[in-house]
Amino acid sequence: MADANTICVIEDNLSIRKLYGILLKKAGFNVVEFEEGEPAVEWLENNHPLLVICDDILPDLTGTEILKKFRTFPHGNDTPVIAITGHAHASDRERYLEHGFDDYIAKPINTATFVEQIRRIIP
Amino acid sequence: MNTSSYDSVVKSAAPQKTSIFQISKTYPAFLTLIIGLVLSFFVWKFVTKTVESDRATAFDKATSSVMTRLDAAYDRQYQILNSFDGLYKNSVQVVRGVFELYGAIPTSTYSSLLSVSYVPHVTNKERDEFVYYAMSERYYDYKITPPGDRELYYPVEYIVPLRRNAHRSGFDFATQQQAFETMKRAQSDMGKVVASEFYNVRPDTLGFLMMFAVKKKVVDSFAVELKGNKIEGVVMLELSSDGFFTTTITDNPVPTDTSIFFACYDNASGSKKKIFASANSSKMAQDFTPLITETRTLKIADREITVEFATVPSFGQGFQGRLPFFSLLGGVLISFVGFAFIFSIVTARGRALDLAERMTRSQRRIVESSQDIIAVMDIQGGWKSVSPAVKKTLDYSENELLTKNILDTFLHPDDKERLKSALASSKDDVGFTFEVQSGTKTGEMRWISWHLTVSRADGLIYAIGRDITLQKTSEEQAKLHNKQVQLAELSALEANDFKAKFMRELSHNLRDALTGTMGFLQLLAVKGYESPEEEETFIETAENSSEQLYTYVTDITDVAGEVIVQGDTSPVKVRYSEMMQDIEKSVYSEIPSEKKITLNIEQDGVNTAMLVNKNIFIDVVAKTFLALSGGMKSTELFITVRGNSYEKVAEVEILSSPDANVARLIQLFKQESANLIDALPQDEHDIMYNLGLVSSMLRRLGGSLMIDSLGDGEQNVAMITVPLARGK
Repeated sequence: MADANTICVIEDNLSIRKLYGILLKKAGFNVVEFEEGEPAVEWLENNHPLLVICDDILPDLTGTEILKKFRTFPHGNDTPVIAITGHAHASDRERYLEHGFDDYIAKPINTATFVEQIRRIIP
Repeated sequence: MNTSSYDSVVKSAAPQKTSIFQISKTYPAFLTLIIGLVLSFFVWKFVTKTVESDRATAFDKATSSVMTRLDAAYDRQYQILNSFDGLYKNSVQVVRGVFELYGAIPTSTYSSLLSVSYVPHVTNKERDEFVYYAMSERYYDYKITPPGDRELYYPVEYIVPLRRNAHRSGFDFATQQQAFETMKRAQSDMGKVVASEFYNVRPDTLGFLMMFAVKKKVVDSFAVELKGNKIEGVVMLELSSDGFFTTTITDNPVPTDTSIFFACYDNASGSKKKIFASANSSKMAQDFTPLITETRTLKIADREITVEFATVPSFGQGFQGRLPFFSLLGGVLISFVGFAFIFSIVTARGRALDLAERMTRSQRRIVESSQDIIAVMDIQGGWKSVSPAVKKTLDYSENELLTKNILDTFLHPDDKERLKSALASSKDDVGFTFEVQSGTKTGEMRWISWHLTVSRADGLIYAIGRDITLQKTSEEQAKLHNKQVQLAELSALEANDFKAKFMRELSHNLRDALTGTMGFLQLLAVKGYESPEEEETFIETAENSSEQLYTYVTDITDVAGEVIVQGDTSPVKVRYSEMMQDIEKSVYSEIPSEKKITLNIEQDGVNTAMLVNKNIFIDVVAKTFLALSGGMKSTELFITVRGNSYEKVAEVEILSSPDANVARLIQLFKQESANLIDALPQDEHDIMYNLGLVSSMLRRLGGSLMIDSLGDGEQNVAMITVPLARGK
């Protein structure tokens, strides 16, 4: 089991993954980073992070597929999952919420408000 | 608006009436009339003859009745004389008392018998002695009258009844010419009864005498003999004519007496003297002509009385008299009724024939002027009759076609079997439509829509054929146009999908790059780094993201407006095995029932996972099956699914049965794939069309289609590739 203060970040873009890590760590969270979906799913199966931040387009799985697999785990429904994607159309937010994501943040993020948005979602 | 059925229109057209004088048509009626009239004549003749026969029989019966009675009356008088004859033969002498005794009963019985007397033959010498003798017979005042000397006397000696005839006692009948003549005859014909003519035997009484001569007797000691022809005298009956006939007829009438007249005539001395007439004779008109007359002879002793009979005016009249007329009238009426009846039948039949002829004529005109082919064939399809429209449609003359079979005009052999099958399964007198491509005499193709009605009872097929070539061409053009539009739409959709996908990816990548650039710039702006090294890292990261951004911007084209994705084409991870049933369902829903496609799938690989939109992939595979089996009634497809992890694609390989036409169209598709819409008119069985759809859909899925033929007479093959799904 991971630390309850841990946030799981699944993002294939290195710059963005680094940015999330810097911002979240500065905010006092532990961050676990994954570049691909399958390894992230494997980790999530055995760990219960505080939050999962997930990109939609990954090399092996989509964010939606990762969410579906995560929700099948016993603790899958206890952990909020946020989609942070470059699909910024007005209908995208509705679509992601319909798919089961707890929230949606469009890229590019606002570094000043990013952590606040995260804290609001954490139960 | 009044509407009339075809029948009523034809019926109301100028009907031709049969004239009574159209002998050629009405002769049966006239024949019936003539026969009827002839039969009526013969019936009339027969009835007339029968009536005449009945009348003759009745007349004969009436006349015979009268004659019988008259004969009986004479016979009665004759018997009286006969008994006196016996008396005189058996007696030596007949005295007054005996004579009167013998004569009393007859004279009291028969009112016509005026007297019965004995008149002896007395010569002049014997006169005085005779008178003396008579006186001794108690005729005390006896004297012969009229007085005078005569050589011969026939005085009445005895007379019965004396009371009525006392004045006749002694009367000398020799002084009566008629009596004297009769006595002489009696004497000359001894023993026979003779009769006088009818004359006034008394001054006021017409009558006649019947007598017989008594032979003189010679008495010897032993016997009385009547010798020789010497007359002793006569026994005489004096009869009243009227009494004789009246008592006989009038007093003993029979019903038949009223049906006849009769009169009796005495033809003595060559003259015809009526001596009696029936009571109803007075009622006979002068100018009346009786129906039947007859003359008979009444024998009174040696004399003959003529009895003339005639029928009364009412004889044989009444119903019987009118029967011949009625029979003739009835026969004539029946003849005319029969004539009218037959005439009505003949004219009705004539009208019906005329109507049928007019209907046939009008129907023939309709058939001949129809633009559709109207034909009759035998059950095997051999033409029996065909309308002139066939020349315009198939360019054959009517006579040319009559030597052919409808199957000869079909362009495709399959259509012959199709028609035979349709004819075999058709119901009697229930029409069905059959569209077929037919060849004209000049080699052109025509689409003919036949409406066929089989009548197995008639052994015929009734057919109406319409040229629907234009309609079919229009339909084909419309279908082709639809296919072209669909392909164009699919291409547009494909372009749209690609553009949408590109824009989404571009948007994502741009945003990712911006996130990196802006994020780290923001951190630098707020001095979010904790060391110069970290600051350097932030700057470097921002620069890298900016470079990415620059790369993406060079690929951007300005897109105005929103990009709307048609439907959800998002790929999902799905295994082939999960789509197999839907693929089969899609295939079988599009093929006709008589077509058979057998799918053989290799089980290894069916669980290969691919990243596709499920509905589009199902459509892709089903249409590939249809394309490879296009135009074949029966085909077998061999399907192999495998994952190519090296190229990160899932492959679906499909092998089909060999078919030259499919192979040809596959090559044509490959040649014309860049210009497929314009090449569609050369397509057959939608093979190229389906392959075009498959190619476009696969491109939308991020996949591709490879299709080829393995050689002449070899199988055809299609390879579908789509993105392989990663992971489990």
